[in-house]
Amino acid sequence: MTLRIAFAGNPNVGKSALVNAIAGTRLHVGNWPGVTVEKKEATFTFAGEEVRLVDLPGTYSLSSYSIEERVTRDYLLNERPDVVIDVVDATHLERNLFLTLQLLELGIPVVLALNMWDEAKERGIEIDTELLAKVLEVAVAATVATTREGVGELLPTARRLAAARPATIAAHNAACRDASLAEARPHVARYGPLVDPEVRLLGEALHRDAAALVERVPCRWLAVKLLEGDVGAQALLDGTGEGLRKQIAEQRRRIQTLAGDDPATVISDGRYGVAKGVVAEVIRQRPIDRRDLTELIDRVVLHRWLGIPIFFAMLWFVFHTTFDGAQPFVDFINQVITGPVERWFLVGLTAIGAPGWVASLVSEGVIGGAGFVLTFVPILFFLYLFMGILEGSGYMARAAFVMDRFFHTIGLHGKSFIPMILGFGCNVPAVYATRSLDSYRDRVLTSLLIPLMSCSARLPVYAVFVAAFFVEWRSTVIFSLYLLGILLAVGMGFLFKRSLFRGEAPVFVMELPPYRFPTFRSLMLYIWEKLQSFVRKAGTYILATSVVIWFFLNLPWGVQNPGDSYFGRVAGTVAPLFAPVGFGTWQATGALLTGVIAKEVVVSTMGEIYTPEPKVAATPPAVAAEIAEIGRGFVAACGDSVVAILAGLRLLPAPAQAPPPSALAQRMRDTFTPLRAIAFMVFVLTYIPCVVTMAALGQELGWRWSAFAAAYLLSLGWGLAFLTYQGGRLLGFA
Amino acid sequence: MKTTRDLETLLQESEIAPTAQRRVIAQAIRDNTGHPDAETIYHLARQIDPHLGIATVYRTLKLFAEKGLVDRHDFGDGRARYEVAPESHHDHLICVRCGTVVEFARAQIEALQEEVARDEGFDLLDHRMELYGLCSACRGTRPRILDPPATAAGARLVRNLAQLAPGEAGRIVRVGAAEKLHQRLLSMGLVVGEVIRVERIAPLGDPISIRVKGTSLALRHPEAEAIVVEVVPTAGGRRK
Repeated sequence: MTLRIAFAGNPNVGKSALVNAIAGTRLHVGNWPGVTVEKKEATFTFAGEEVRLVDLPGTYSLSSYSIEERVTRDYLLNERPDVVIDVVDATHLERNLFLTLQLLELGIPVVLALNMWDEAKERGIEIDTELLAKVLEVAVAATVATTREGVGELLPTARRLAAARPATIAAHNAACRDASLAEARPHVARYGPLVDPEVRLLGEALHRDAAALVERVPCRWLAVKLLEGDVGAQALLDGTGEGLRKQIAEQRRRIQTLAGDDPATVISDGRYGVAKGVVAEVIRQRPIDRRDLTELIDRVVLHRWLGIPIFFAMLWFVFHTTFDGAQPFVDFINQVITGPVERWFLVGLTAIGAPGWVASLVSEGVIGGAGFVLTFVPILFFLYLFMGILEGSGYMARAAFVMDRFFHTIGLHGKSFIPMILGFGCNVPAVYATRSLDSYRDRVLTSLLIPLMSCSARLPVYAVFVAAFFVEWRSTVIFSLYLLGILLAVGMGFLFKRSLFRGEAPVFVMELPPYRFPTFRSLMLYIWEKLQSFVRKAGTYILATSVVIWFFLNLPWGVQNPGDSYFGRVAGTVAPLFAPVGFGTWQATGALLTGVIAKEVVVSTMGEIYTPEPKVAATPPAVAAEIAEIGRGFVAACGDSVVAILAGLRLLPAPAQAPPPSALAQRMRDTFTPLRAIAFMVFVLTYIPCVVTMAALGQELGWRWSAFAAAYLLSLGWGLAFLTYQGGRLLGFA
Repeated sequence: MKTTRDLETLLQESEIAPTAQRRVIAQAIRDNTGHPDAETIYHLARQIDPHLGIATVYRTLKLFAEKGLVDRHDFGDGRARYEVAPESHHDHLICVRCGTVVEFARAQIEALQEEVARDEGFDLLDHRMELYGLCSACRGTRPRILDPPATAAGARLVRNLAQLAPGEAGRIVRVGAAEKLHQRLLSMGLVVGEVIRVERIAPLGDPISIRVKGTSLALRHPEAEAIVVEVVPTAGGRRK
């Protein structure tokens, strides 16, 4: 028998920290089927018994108005875990009990984990846990997730409870039907003399007219939700008679008339009434003179004049540190992969007598692809480090608070700002950063606009063209491209808000949690979860794409000139499509095609096509020496990272920049004109996101949105390049 | 026009088992000279017995009203008001601006009402008459939405949440949001009767952050406008 335990609770109560403290690295992170709400699970053996933990999304209620609420209630209703561990914030017991009372109606044994017990003590809040357990008929444990105090008790308590009170619906419903017993059970939320009889009446009707349904769904919970007018509960009634529906409508009307308020309000009021009463009974508040640190920080961070400068300073710091700090590691990984690792593989393959094409496939397709995936790991590490700190500390919500007004106008949420800005560094972490957004709609909308933020990989492309054509106006041209991207994002934001997402106004009610110190352990677990999921999911697709592209470049067998490969032929076939926009050659098209893998590859492909270099033959490796070299390289990368971060903060002089390539520039002037160059750059700015971004979009939003993003960006890019090129020609440019 | 009968007799006459809590609540209503609402009664009763929960107060008030111990009045301000059922009948004048309630009785009116009922073939069991208007103090004042916060005891000032300045507090009178938002607001503790305080306004003027049930919530203006509050005086309250 597996003991199935679900963790439920409000957002910001330390639920994830508690789950982490129990399950740690055993947690498996995935998505709930059909939605992009994170699902964390762990299966392990505890005291000789198999235990399966599920961390449900944080919710304030069990209604069906947000994805999180739906996921939580569907799981609890359909899977019926043996025990629910309800994590509550001991410092805000009253509001947390609103959810607890709804959980109790499901008839599943509940362990109340009074988390942040230490904080409550500091604030002079004394909770009589024994009384609380008696009043609510639950087990109560005081916990501190960050220090793991009391955490060890949770599993044994849950197991004891599950054994003592099985969570069968039959038992629950029997108790529920027996009115006198229900009366004697104080833990069942009561809604006063007006609503209680209605609940009982409807409960009886459900047993009579929807017997099959009540075998699956706890009758009391269902009755209450139906009286509240909950849409999800009404959907459960499908297939039952019309009489039941009429009765519900009638009962709802009765409550409305008698209470003078709508039933949902009356029932919520009842719940808060009980919560208030329970809190009054079990809590002793010692008066304590305590300065509220959160209020002090907020006074500065959300200050009318300082708020926005502080936000931008923070953003600049995150942006800069993420990309500059990660760069030495990116270079290091590149060197290791293309150097020693590739050589070892080649030597190994030669030793076992593999044919040359296998060696080429492995080195260019597999190692190239895998290495490419790995180069994102340092960037994502820094990104998640900062996201973890920003979210865990509570600043993320403040950033949204400060910037919301601005983003609201283009239909976005204040929290969209951080992903958008990160997009200037790299679209991939930016897409992952949309996780901090609560609603799926905001997540989709923000992610669709992120590719318009000109990422750092597009800069080398601009740099090459600018060096060849616009040396004098270098910064103006590049700045205009960035600006164009931003304007396009604003424009498309408006457009999407009015077309795809019309009418779906998201509710902006966001909690500003108190500031806290994220613990090192939770940060590392957070980063670990995200990175391994990136490497596993996105990595697989990127690797596959990389291998497919290799085949296209190297088929038919023995092809010498890339123009004759399938790839070249495909490029040649689609090239006429680009004639109206000014670059209908197979070379330009081919470069753009490879640019789908990564935008900076456009430059290297152009380099290869326009100025081919002979390949350097591999030399036999000295494995031991190379391993030592790798170690030294890593240490150097750490040092460089620190230097780069400090240099960016103007604490150290910046390292010298490499000069831009110039041999290529000459060749490009032969094939491009300035107008064509501009059209090309505009196209590179907007066209299809790179494979990694598409993989990230697919992983976060599903493949349909990913394909949609590619399609709309491609058309937008083509359209803009067309306007640029043809418009320029009309004005008399070549 | 307050009754002087003692509580014990009152409860007995109304066939209500005189538990300790019920006595306390009945006493609170009797000792108040006005028409207190449930929240007020709760606070008064808590001074006598600090362990009393608001749920108990609501339940008890409903019981009292059912048994005829108290009269429940709805003066259209979203709150039920209670008074110990008087031995003699009287009617009410209600000021829509400050909420003042004046009791009056006129034999002619009573007679006229009975006459009307008789003419229509009605057997009159009970009646209430409530006259709404502006009291002498409020006559000639500006509409309350533009008024400065009320300081006079008993005066009510109704605004929507978006109209409050940082530091001002209000008791929720009505949550007028559409279903989805309404549910969300309810689940986050924004229920009628709750006292909330505006903490601050974002640098760009929107959203605002409010304090409710010990936590801070950020709301945009359209959402805040749906929440109607009655301003409660605060020490730290200041106007722009």
